[in-house]
Amino acid sequence: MRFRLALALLSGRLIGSAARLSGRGGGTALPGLAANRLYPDLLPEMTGGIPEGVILVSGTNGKTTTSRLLALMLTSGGKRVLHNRTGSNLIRGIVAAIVASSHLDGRPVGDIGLFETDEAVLPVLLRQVQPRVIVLNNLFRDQLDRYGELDSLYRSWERALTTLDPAVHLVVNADDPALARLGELATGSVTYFGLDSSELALSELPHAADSGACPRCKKPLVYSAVYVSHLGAYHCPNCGFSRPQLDVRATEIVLHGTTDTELTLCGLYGEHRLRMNVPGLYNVYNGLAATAAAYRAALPWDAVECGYSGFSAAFGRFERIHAEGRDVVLTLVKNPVGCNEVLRILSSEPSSEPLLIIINDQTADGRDVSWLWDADFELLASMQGPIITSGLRAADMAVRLKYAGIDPAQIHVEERIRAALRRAMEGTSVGGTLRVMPTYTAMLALRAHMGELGWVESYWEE
Amino acid sequence: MKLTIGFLYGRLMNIYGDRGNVVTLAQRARWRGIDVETVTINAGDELDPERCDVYVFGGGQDREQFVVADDLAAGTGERLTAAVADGAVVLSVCGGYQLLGHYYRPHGHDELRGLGLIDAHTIAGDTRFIGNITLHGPLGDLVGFENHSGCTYLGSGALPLGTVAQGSGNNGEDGTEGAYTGKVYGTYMHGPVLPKNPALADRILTEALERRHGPVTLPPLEDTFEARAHESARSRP
Ligand SMILES: [Zn+2]
Repeated sequence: MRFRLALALLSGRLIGSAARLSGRGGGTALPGLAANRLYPDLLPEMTGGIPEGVILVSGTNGKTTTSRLLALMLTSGGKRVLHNRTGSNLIRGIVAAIVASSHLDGRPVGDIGLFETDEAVLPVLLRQVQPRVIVLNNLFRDQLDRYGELDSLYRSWERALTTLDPAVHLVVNADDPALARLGELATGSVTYFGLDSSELALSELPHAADSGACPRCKKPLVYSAVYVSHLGAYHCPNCGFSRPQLDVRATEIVLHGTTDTELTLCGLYGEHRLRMNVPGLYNVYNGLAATAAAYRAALPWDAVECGYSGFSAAFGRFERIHAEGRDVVLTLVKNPVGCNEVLRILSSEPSSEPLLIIINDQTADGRDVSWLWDADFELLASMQGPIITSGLRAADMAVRLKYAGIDPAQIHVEERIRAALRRAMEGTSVGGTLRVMPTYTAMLALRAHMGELGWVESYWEE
Repeated sequence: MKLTIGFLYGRLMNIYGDRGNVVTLAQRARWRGIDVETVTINAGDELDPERCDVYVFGGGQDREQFVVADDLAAGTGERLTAAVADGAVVLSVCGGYQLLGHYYRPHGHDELRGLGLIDAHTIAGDTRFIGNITLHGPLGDLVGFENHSGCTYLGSGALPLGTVAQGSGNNGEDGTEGAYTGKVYGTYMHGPVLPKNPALADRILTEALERRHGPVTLPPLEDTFEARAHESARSRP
């Protein structure tokens, strides 16, 4: 039996090296697939052997950011972290991460496991892995054409999370009503996080928000504060369901455009004023999620603080590239909620420099581009500079901007990404900043092109 | 001239950008100097049959659709029917379309009674139809994105919006997509449907204005971006 496990680990590792040698970025899926096929019990056996257990991070938005921040905190606390860093968050990606860091006799190298988990995969993974902590960030309508409806995803989470061993601890975003409901139904203990910063609250649910129905009785919820999409402080006048008491919360939040965010963290670790080197309210949620998970992993405050100060923007999230005497700020957009957050940040910084929006509709982007109409591009109506739209759905984006009230004379359609980048750079003044919002595959194409130009490392490695 | 648009169940039934249909009607009216008011009618609100010239009724998930079906049965449906009889236009998409037929039979739930404004009925199917869709029909060539598992079958009192060239349409069997009866339209096309099909948008706008203003002829608009978006949707299988 042990021999078979060693064989699985070895072949997984060989396939991994071969993929890396061939220069194909990442190469994370194959070794996991191969190892799992050779030894199907690899996941339960190996994760069971990680001394301080496993933390899972799931939800629609912020998985990568949350788990990276948490990894930094854990590392700062002196722990060796077994982490699927590359963001390959399906079963095979998690297996690959384990294969890549274990002895051939099956002993994992690492004190604690940290696995970012695709939301559709979470229920499947929970059948094989018993984690110590599960972090639930949020549930948004995302890529519905891949996963079917949000309702069925929610129901599968409910089935999985209400049948857990009571020893499993949940870290739950209390501002998300559906997740708060799962927390209420859960068998184990729960730590709730949320925002308490009414000066940043929106007056009403944005268009992109999910229904706003009470997850317990289906009647409409009443919000006293809305922060991002359907996340906020709410209660149900009909059945009394309401946002749970927050164990850790962020107050006095100050957003500094595309660069950083200040906040006061209250609860669990006492009260601390912090600066995060990433922009947007979204990242405050990610910070809270990581903090609560760190607390449940018994990390001391100085490790948590160290994690915060060492943190910076990940690939494609307000990443800044210097080229031709200009700055290029790249921000991935993939769904209306995330896109709204980006638009909010961009419109808070007046600029007459160009904005480049690149919309593709390949499978990894989501084939359906109707989400462009759920995002509030109306926020750009006061923008002075030209807006160049590019990608396979450049024209869809142009239509959306026109109907959002932007002067058509300001909008330029250039489907070809290289030509669009050239045009946008030429329109940016020396010393100025070009802002670029690409979808996922557009980001990859753009990075590849920037690599050829020598602006970035052509091979993206974590 | 003034146009009042009713966004029917805008909070519950607004999946896949269906709000874009409201924005499109409003902007294409404004660009022609018409005053526009948009009213969102949520569950529990009283619909005034006199007030709106056109209703936009989007799609939702099953859970939301049950709430909406209850609300329609509690009086809103009757008032909407009265508005239609008085000349109001309705554009319904996906879940909204299903509830304007005679009935919708979902999985694991009692049949939902529809308003019967469109001679059609819908039965939940086992296949999900997802993808870009194009059709040819009497209202011109149309493009959109479909994502539904309900199968809708038309009776003799409804005409399809067109014949499917690419995609699945009403039920994936008979090659039809959508339906219209008088000024009531139903379709499975998200995308949303109107921005990329400006001729359909203008047809609905014209019919909506006629309710109060008699026959109107809308001046043409510059539709270069719209035409380009229509073409790129058509070229994406
Ligand atoms: Zn309730």
